[in-house]
Amino acid sequence: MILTIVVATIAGSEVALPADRIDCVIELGALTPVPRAPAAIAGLATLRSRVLTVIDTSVALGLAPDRTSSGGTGGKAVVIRHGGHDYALCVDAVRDVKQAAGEVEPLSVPVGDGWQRVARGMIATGASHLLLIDPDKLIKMQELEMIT
Amino acid sequence: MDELLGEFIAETREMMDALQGEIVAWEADPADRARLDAIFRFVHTVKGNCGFFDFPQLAALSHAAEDALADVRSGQRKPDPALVDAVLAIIDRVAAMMAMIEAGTPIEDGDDSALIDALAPGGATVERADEGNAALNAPQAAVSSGAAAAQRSVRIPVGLMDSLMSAVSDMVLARNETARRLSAAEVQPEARTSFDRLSAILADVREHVTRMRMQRLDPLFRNIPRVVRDLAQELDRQVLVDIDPGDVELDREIIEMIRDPLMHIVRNAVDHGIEPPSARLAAGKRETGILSVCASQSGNQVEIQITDDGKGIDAERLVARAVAAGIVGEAEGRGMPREMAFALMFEPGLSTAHSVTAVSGRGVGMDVVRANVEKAGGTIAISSTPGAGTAITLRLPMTLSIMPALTIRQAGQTFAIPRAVVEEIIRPEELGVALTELGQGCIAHHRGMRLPCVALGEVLGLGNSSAPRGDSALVIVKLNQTDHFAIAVDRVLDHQELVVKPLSRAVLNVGLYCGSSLLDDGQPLLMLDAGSIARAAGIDFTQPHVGDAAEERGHAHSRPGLPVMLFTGLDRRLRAIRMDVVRRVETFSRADLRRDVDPPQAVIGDAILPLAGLEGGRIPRGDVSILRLHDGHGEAGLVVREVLDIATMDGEIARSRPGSAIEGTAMVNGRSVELVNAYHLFATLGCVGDPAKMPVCRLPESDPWFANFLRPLVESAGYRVVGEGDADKADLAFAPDPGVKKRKSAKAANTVWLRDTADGEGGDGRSVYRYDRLALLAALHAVRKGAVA
Repeated sequence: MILTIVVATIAGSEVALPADRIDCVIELGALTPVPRAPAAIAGLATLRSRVLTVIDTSVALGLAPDRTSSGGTGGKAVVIRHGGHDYALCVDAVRDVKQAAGEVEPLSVPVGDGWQRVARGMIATGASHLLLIDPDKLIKMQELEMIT
Repeated sequence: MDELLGEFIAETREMMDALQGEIVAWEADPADRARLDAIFRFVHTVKGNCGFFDFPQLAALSHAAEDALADVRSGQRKPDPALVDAVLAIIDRVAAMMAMIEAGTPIEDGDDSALIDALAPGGATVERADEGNAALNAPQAAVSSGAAAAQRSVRIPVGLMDSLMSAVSDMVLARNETARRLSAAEVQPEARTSFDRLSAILADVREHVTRMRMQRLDPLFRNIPRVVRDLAQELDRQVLVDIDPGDVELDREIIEMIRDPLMHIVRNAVDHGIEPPSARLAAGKRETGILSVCASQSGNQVEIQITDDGKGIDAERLVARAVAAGIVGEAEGRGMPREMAFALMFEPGLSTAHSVTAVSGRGVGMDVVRANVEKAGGTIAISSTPGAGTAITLRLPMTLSIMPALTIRQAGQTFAIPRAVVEEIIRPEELGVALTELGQGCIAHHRGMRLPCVALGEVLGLGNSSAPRGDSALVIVKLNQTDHFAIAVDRVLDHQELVVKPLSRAVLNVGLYCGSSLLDDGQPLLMLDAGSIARAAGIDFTQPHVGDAAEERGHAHSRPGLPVMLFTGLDRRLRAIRMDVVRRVETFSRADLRRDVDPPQAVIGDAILPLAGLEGGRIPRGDVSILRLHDGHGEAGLVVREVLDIATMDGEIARSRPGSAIEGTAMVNGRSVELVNAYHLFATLGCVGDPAKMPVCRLPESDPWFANFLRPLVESAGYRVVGEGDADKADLAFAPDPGVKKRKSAKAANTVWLRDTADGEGGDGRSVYRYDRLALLAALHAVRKGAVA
């Protein structure tokens, strides 16, 4: 099956996200901080009267220093519905939406701890390969982190 | 019962619709086993359901058909066209009866015995009513004619209803956002008008949908007798169950949330509450214990009370176990008040730990019960008397998705607290609360109670102040009977009805929040979970935090809630008046109102009442409502726009200056209410009973101070005022003090001399400083008592 992917930049790296999991791409407005939440929870935002839990993807992946639920404005994010709730994953930029050039392949090189935990594999896009991120894994990580 | 009947009708109708094809097929091939089974199931179900209702004809018919069909199914009888006809005739007749039941008309007496006889082998053939399937259409026909009599109901999947509710909630939020944008932009007045119309319609829709989700408690309560009966048998108890679901409706989601907790409490009551018959007899009680479960509604809260007349809770044993489990220290345990001891039942790890039985110990402890009730936004309270029984009270909000809440501000961020737990708000400027810092902690002393005080900023890690500052507002939170604490916040903003949305698990896991909502400006806000905040702050509710028992009793005695009647005045302001002074509410025609006299009067029956409350608004057309007030001597009328409710004012009353028409303001059900000063009202109307019986006070009329300043005070104390020249015998006189030596008689039984200076005693203790209000009142009071007695 050939996936449609969203090509986005997270923590400076270009990665692919499965388009079928992405509800929409939004420009985040002001965030409501969540005091005492882990650093990766950037806050709450609204989208058409839905409340979004905004996850600072770079922090969640351990690629950026803790910015502690700071509120502030968030930039771009992709919206994912997970377990009946809406999450917004912050991205630096969204480059493209396109058909992948091939199937998902297992990772052939170590990609680092943070990426490893959320990667579904790699995927060909024309000339190059991109890391395919599983957004549900990333959210699940957040859900579990709180419990421990 | 109506609801049950409705279900019965709906179910029968559904089956009958599905049966239409089967009947035709069976008619064509009487040997068809599958068709036969379907028809058998139908008559069997109808017969079974008839048992619940009093429809003897219906029961007789379906029973006869069932018997005949059972013979066919067991092979004792071959189906022949005569039997098919007979059965079909019965089904037609059942359909006709259902239509009559649904329309609410009594079932016509038809000769059903012919139909039944026809079932017998070789019985006479019957003419099917109206031939063909006309009879099957009968219900539809009857419905269209009987629609006005009986409301039809349809079944809707619960999921669909839930998504409708959430769509409507979203619509409310979208409306709010639109309203905000409209107010920011310049729009045509027409656009605003249509927007207002839209808003009004939306409010209606919201109300209907909310009502749609409401369910009566009957189905929830209906299981209880069965559960109790089985359990009583198993445990050898005799229990009489008294169920009263009242006329109460609750959001179906909340009903689901409390289903297990309620059953657990009921099981507990039978298992641990009600004693075996022998023990009851020995204790001088009747062998049969009584367990009552009743529901009632007040405001937007529903109260469910589970009461048993069993042995009660052994507070000492509870405490002993809590001490053994290390939950409380030995010292605290010893002097622990009973109420606090009961609260220990909710401690995890304590509930029935060493007396787990197959009955109540089903993996749910009282801690889980409490957690579930709190999740539904409710609270739970226990009271118990040893030997006499236990009462457990659940208080629940009527709806989940729209919740009354208090919005507050902390470090520039807005939060909300569910109204259900907010007991009182103390504003910084109010007196009567003292904060004591204890190291990093803080205790608020308020009305004889020592409340642990939590700085919200600290719990949330916002703001630097470690202890609440004197200028922050305190929100007193009551988690249950005993667990009170104060949350210090920067500012209390408003009471709002919030559309509450569930939190994502990632945020819920933080453990301080129970929901989110959107503010009018579209910004999300977090709803605080008060119980978790107390836990996060490390408050130990097992430590006594009540000043001391005596102090608490004294407080309870001195400040009972004040029963008041709520109404709106002609000026549309919300006011309250003490219930004690209201004799009754009356309406009278505008024509009976006389405004040309001072004060205005109303003629009601043969009484003429002086009226207050006419200022500040137009008198509505048609009938006017008045509150007929009495002060034990005379009567007065207070004109109101609308009488709203009877309520209890138990919060702090912010007093106005003495002698104002408004005694003070207080919060009642979340709204600020002005309390009418009945004393002032009667005083200004001058309707204090029979003037002849009033004590008389003589004032020098020449002195403007006496006329302008003292006279209102004297009159409001119930005196008739006379001047120096009047011949009337005076009980009391006030006069300027010329000095001890120059005093002349002021022609009264008692004289109070008024001096101009605050200091000194004027020489002989018989003079009073003219602005010493208390001393003046004391003098007036003393003389009045003497004069009247």
